[in-house]
Amino acid sequence: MPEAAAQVVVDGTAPDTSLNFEQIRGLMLQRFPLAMIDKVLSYEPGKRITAVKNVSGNDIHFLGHFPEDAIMPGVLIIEAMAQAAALLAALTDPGTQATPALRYLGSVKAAFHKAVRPGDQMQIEVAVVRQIGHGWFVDAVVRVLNEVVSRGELLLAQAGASHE
Amino acid sequence: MPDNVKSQIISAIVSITDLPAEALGEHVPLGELGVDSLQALQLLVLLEREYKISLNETDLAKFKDIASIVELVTERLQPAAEIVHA
Repeated sequence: MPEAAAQVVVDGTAPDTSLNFEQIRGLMLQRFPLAMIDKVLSYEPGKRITAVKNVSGNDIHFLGHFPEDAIMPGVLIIEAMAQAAALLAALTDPGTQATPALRYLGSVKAAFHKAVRPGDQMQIEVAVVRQIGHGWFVDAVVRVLNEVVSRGELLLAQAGASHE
Repeated sequence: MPDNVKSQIISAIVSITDLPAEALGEHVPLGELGVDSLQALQLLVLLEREYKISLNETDLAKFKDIASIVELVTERLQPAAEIVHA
């Protein structure tokens, strides 16, 4: 509904910055089974992004984690944080072909407060603390039904910039 | 104050690099210690949070060795000069 969307902007409310899965796939390097973002709810270039990962019992990692007790692996929650940050980087500098993707993790500090299980919808919020050169330092919070399930601090680098 | 700042900065570098504290000479260039640009950025954010100060890209370029970082942080911790009205 382009007319309705235009009206929202005219009214002075925030413009719609959501992205669907196809738009996200066009920006991301990751593919199945490591595509960890289903939707972007909103973003501000260079500042913050809110994205969604729908956790399904059909996700392949639940074959092994664990066969009799499906729990979302913490490393994949961190991966979702990193992918949200990478999306924000791609959306911040849309000169995509020339701009190296945010591809490397430099460091991670994370805490997990509650298990994430099939049926949960993870809302991933990433805020940029500092971006200097090819390095991005971000804070991330993951919520399920408005309850914080994980927090993280991630240092990421664009391709070709890691450990220079 | 600077000695305390120095020991805290050394602790921060140790936590980021896993280098032994004994290897961190005050005037040894960070590059020689193997501190890369990402680790320097990590140190900048850590110092900002620890000391509640603001550092920018220009400040990052001053991260030459431990002595220069101590000097920078100590300078930022000083209260703003009192404005004297004529």
